[in-house]
Amino acid sequence: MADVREDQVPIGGVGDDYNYATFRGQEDFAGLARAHHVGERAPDATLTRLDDGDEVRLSDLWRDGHVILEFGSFT
Amino acid sequence: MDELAEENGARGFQSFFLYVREAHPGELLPHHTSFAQKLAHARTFRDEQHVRRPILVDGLDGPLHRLLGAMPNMTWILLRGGTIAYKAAWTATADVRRAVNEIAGIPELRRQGGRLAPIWTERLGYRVVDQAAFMRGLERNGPKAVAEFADFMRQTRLDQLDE
Repeated sequence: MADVREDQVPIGGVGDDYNYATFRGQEDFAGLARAHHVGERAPDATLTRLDDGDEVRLSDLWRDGHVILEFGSFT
Repeated sequence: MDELAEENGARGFQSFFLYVREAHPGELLPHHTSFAQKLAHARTFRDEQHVRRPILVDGLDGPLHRLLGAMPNMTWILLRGGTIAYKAAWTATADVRRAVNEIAGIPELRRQGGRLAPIWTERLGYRVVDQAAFMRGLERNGPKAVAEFADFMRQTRLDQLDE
């Protein structure tokens, strides 16, 4: 799970609607604009490595060097 | 982006693909209802698309994806220590490369004795869209994904006519 500060509100689909079954143009540019800005510290999060199933902290990755993170799925 | 990752590994950049929700769920690749299913989709994606970067998977409800804007194909660059240096709504490899080169050049500027101060920029960039590849992706997901995108585009055009 991501570490959420009190002043951070998850955006881009709330609750059960995050994994929507029907595409209706849920892309939310305004949400991206409200998200963290350059110059700020990124939120930490626990992610799962696909290769071995182990969990890894985002902060453990950026401790070792710069991180380029591309988000995506099949489309 | 795999080539970019390989070009810059020795310059201190670690590259990852973060698997998030299905943007265009279809009959063959439906929306995620379990984390095991999300992992399975990510494995299929890695194998079919021959992704060479390490793949990370966000939680089922997208905790990190939602905090960072929830766009389907963003790229973010985090500096060593966690400071956000770059965020883009869509991934454009050439634009990411420019940002990486700028970051990679900082140590040399410091060696030259220049005093560096951070700036904050916001600009509109452009990317070349491979529409054929995108349509193949929709078809891979299933007819439902194709139909829903067509409906969305039709509605978008109607909305623009109303303006």
